[in-house]
Amino acid sequence: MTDAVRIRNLAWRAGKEFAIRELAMTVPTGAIYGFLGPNGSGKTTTIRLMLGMLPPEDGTIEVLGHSVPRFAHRALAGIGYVPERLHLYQGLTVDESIRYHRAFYANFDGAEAERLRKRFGLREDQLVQRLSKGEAGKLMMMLALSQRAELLVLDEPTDGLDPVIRREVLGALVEYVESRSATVFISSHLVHEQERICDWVGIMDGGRLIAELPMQEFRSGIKRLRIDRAPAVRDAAPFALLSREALTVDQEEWVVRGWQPEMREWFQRAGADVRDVQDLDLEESFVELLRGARTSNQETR
Amino acid sequence: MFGQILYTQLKWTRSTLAVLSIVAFALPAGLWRLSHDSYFGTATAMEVMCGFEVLGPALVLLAFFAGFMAVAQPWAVDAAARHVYPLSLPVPWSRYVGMRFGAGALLTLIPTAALWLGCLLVLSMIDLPATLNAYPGTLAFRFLLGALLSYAGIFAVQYISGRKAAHVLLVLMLILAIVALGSEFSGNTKTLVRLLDYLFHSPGPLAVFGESWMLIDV
Repeated sequence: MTDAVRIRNLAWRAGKEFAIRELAMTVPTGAIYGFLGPNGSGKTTTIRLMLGMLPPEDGTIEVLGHSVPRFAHRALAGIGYVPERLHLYQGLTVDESIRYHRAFYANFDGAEAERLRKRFGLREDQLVQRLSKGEAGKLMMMLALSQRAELLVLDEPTDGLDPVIRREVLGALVEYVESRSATVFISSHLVHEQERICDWVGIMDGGRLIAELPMQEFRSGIKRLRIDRAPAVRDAAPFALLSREALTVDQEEWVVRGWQPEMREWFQRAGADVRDVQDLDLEESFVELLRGARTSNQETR
Repeated sequence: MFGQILYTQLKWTRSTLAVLSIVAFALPAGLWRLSHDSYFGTATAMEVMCGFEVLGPALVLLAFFAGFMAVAQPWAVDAAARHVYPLSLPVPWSRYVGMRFGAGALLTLIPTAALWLGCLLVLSMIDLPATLNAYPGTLAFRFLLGALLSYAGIFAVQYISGRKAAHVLLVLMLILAIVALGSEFSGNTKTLVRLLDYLFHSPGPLAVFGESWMLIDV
């Protein structure tokens, strides 16, 4: 089966300040892909490129087997999209919004929309402009889920929502994925939330995808090592060194990616000794990955 | 799909359309009333003709405004959310824009119909001499064309090519301004007159606004 999203060599520029460079990304079909990155790293821009809302300067984008932006409308027929901010028409009521949205999607499930509307506690006659942030988030999620989409693209869907509403929204999402085996692409900077539901992770920083790996690898493959007589040269290392810091004259702390216990031998051969191996929680792993990418960027400049 | 677009557009513009329709309906009677000597009594066809001669340009403005509002309000709604919603819908942008255009164009029929009814009402109150003819349908059609022309122009600027179209419009206005200033300073008004003639007289692109808007004529 093809990948749900396949991006290669993507480039896009907004003035002199910000650019997406050589972005390559693969979202396997059926995956729940967490798209992590600090604010301003290019997550929303990447999503807009992926949906054909912005024309790329270079590279190829394929979504659900359709080339984007040329055939974006075909890809969009199978995509449920929840943007960062409310995009629905504010002058319409909840019921009118449902009717408007359903007119564009052949597979729209009216009964499911009604079920979710009741579950989320949205009144039919409520005006969209009078909805609270949580209610607006629920309405957008309700419409996306009722489309019976193959791919859900969610841009910070729970940002700014209180824990109760966040749980409701994520609960509906998980139910949907379980029942329909859909692919989910979820952008967020809330690392712990992604940890609970995602099986793939992509990390953006400064317009570049600095890592793309299965969640399991992200969770267990990044370690903090305390090393005596640390070797100076790191090029031949069987792991990726994200950062190193001197603790004492002959002791250093390294953060590495792709660590395996048998790699201790590599240190022994270099005359070093690994004193301690610590697991990092997901947030620390995320921060270290970003730090490592930024350091290597500065070195290459 | 088109039905829903039409519905939303009607909902956003209904207040403006209502005001425009009331004005369009009342304007023919108002023109006659302004030119009628006494408040009571039967109006004459001549009074109605005079009214339209003097205040006909009000209809031109109304047609322009009807076209402007039919596009400006829906565009403002889309622009408020940076067009994210229409762009995320599974229809090509050209088709979406076409449907928005069609919906707005259909809605300009409402004030047009109001004007037509207003004209019929005025005509029912006067005795038309055999030498004169009434043109309520033609006047309403002229109004519709005027509204559609302004609608299409403003729609193109806002939806089709955004800044580029705005730049083209700006350049055209600049040319007009330069010609006008040149004529003013040189004392030779021929070029300006020719340009305005070309624009506002048949078969110029804005001829519909330039020619007389008469309900009763020979």
